[in-house]
Amino acid sequence: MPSKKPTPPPLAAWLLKRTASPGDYDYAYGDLMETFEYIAEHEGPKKAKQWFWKEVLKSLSGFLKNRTHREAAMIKNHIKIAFRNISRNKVFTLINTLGLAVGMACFILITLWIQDELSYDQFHTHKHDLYLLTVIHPDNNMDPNVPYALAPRLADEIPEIDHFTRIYSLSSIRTCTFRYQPAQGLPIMDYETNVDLVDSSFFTMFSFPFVHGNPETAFQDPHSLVITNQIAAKYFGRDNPMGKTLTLNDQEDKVVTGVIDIPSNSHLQFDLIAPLPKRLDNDWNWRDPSYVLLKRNSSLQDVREKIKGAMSRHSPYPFADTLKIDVLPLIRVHLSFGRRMYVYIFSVIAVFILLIACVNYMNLATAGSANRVREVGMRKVMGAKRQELIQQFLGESMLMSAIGLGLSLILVRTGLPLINSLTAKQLDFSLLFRHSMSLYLLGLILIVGLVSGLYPAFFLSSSQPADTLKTSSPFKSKRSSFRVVTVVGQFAVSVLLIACTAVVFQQMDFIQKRPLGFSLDHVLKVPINPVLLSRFQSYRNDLLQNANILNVTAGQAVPYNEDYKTSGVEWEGKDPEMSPNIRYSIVQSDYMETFGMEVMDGRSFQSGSLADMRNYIINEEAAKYMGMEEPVGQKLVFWGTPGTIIGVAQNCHHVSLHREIMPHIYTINPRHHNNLKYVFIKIASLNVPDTLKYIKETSVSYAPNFPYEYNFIDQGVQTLYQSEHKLGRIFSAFAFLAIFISCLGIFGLASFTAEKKTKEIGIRKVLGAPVSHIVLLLSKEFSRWILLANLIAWPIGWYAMSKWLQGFAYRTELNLLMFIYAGLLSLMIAAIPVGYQAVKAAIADPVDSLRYE
Amino acid sequence: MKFLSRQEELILLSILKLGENAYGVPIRQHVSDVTDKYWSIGAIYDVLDRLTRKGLVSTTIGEPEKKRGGKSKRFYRITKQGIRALEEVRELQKKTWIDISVPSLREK
Repeated sequence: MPSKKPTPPPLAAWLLKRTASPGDYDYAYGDLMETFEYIAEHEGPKKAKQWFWKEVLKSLSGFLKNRTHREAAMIKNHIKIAFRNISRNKVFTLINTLGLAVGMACFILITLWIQDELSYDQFHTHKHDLYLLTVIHPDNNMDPNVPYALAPRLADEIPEIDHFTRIYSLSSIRTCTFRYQPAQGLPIMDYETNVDLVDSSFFTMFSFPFVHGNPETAFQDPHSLVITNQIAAKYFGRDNPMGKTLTLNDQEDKVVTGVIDIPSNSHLQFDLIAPLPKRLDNDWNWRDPSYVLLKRNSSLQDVREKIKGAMSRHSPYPFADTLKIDVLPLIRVHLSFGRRMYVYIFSVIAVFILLIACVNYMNLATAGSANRVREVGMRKVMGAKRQELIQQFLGESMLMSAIGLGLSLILVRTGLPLINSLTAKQLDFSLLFRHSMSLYLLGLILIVGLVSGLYPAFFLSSSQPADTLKTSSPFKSKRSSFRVVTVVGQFAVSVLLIACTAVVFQQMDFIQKRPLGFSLDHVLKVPINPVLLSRFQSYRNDLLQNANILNVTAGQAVPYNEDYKTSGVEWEGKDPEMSPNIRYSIVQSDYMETFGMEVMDGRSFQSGSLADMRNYIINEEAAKYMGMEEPVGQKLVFWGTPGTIIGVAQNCHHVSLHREIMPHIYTINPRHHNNLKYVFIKIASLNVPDTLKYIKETSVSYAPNFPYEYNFIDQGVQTLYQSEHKLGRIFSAFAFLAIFISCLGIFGLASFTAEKKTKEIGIRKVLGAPVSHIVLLLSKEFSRWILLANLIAWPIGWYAMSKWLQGFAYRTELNLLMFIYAGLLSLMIAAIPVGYQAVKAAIADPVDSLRYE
Repeated sequence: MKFLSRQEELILLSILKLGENAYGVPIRQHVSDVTDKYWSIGAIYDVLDRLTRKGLVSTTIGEPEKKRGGKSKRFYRITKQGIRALEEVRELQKKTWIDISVPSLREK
């Protein structure tokens, strides 16, 4: 025999150990070794090792078949016990699965939402080389809009830039109407509010899917026009839109060269898009974004270095030195500018709600587990190993988690339309069944099952058979500390959400009640068109013939959302180095009267006065800004036109309350009248239908070639706060869910405590304690925990909400009372399950609880 | 009453034939010789475990042996029930083949 004994390959031996049933392993190994040594001796160790491997692999199927025979019996027993438990504790099981299902549904919905948020702009072929040009202000604020003249200059001097395109939002500076004249029949006309002009490289850079037409040739002709599916359907119905003519503002013919379908997860959204004329190349105003496409593999660092100082190099503004130019990757554009925070908030909420649901499962699974503990004792006596028991309990929680997921899918299915309307998205249920998502759902089952089952598994399997099989209390009291921590945590989250909801609603209330400085009651908005604009005075006079029409004016935007800023203002005593930042409104006379704005000092514009064309009205803030003690009569130069200040108007909120009131200038100079977009008509509350009819007839008689439409604008202010309204509703929904799931948790804990104290309660009752005393005894403890949860939640809520409120220039004061109300509410809600359990325990017959067996 | 499967029958018969020496290696050897087929250790133990569970064989454990990597042999011995089960299949075999002649390929 050789001195060195050959050994079988360790991996193969290990595999044999894993696959053979424990009782067989030793003998099977011995059998194999016998032959192994024989072969090793006669044919060499190499042959022997090969043989050993072959044998082990070929034995796999036989061993596994054998094993499953044996284990199937055990698993069958586990499943039987699981279902017995389910049917024994129907209420518990219902609560438990419901909690898990709601938590999982929340989690899935938020995942769908986040997935959608992250999918923005991912469909562009060049997504990794596309960048948005941004301006970084001295206060580090990022501005997505850059001067129109900037991008062409950058493209000239920086070789890395392959293409650039500017977006020029035509519809935001003038009314756009489109008219289609079919071969026969009436023309189809409409106002369009989403019309953009872009550089011809637009479709080379962005890969919007074309339904008709070719992206490469769509913009070869300066009169071409690309429209979306919806617009095509509106004007052309089922006809082929290609090559059809749409007339812009009754003067400019555009030929449709493409129809596209804009995915909902594109941050660029428009209805009609046409090539931009060259004339913007020296325009240093900025209102709209510009994008660049960099060459593949160019160094972003170099490009950023080169463009940093572009403003001071090229722009004529003296203050340009303080502005830095930067780029933002296209795929990050959607989440920048404030949205990222929502993604974070919702991810945290999703995880929390899921966690609350899992914690619930733990609490409920371990509460009322007297029977389970005896079962464990029995199994242990019969020889079950702890590992097997852990497997059994984890298997049970996995089963519950799978049932929960099934239920949650039903909830998601039914809740999705609601979520879609809340978030203005088109999330699709079928998204869940795509390849990667089914993996995610499977993972969710595993993780939820594991997280919620781990503690019960270890807790229940740790009990000593001798203790558990005694008839006296099978519990050890110290074990409940973990439960208390989890319930306090749950309630802290719930209180936090309630308090946040309260603050959001209070701020909404504050916004609603704050006087804006103008009145929108009975003011009608009619889009202006070139004809109405050129004949405005006689149109106005005709309207005013009607006694129920009180005032007629025009403006460039609705007064509550009019954010036009300029630096082109000079006044006496101005620091020549200073670059002013002033809002302006281009209006018509009667503006102040139409909106009921107060002129504090001086007078308002006089209708028909030639002198007033060059005169200005400023607001109080502007008077302060310009350092004028007596503004009326002072000289002011606006966009190169010198004039006199004739009045000081009250400060008005021309933008949402997120932002400060700024210095503001009102002018009626006809040089800027091309910027007017709407006629505003104030009518009396009498005979409204007749008045509306009169306005329509008058407008149509003036401009029969243009469509007529009108809106009352008093409801429009709310649109400024849509995202806050949504946040409020989403928060309240989450708060409700969290409180619901937490109540399930505290219900479980209450029943656990009541069960633990069964004997104590029995003795107290025998000794004559009244029911009320016992209810109090049980409830007292819970009040303490909820108080503790409040103490944890308040500082966090205070901090988070003061951060959120900082987003508003005008905000409500944070009030301790709100937090106290949130706490009281949580206490009241928690009182229901606790009270139920307490009363149930208190009225139970002491004979039942005190008997020995 | 369920009848023995062919595999069980084969292994029971080989245990009977091997007598004192009926453990894994010779059983496999014998079954492989008779059937002229490859039998893996796993397949053998699957059947042996089933026979043990049904009480058709009893087992005794031998001394640990050096040449078996320090492991013992497990010897199998047929029980009375095992004998009865074998008798049953033999009777069944006889009854089912009475008056049946299958044309043999070799005699052609």
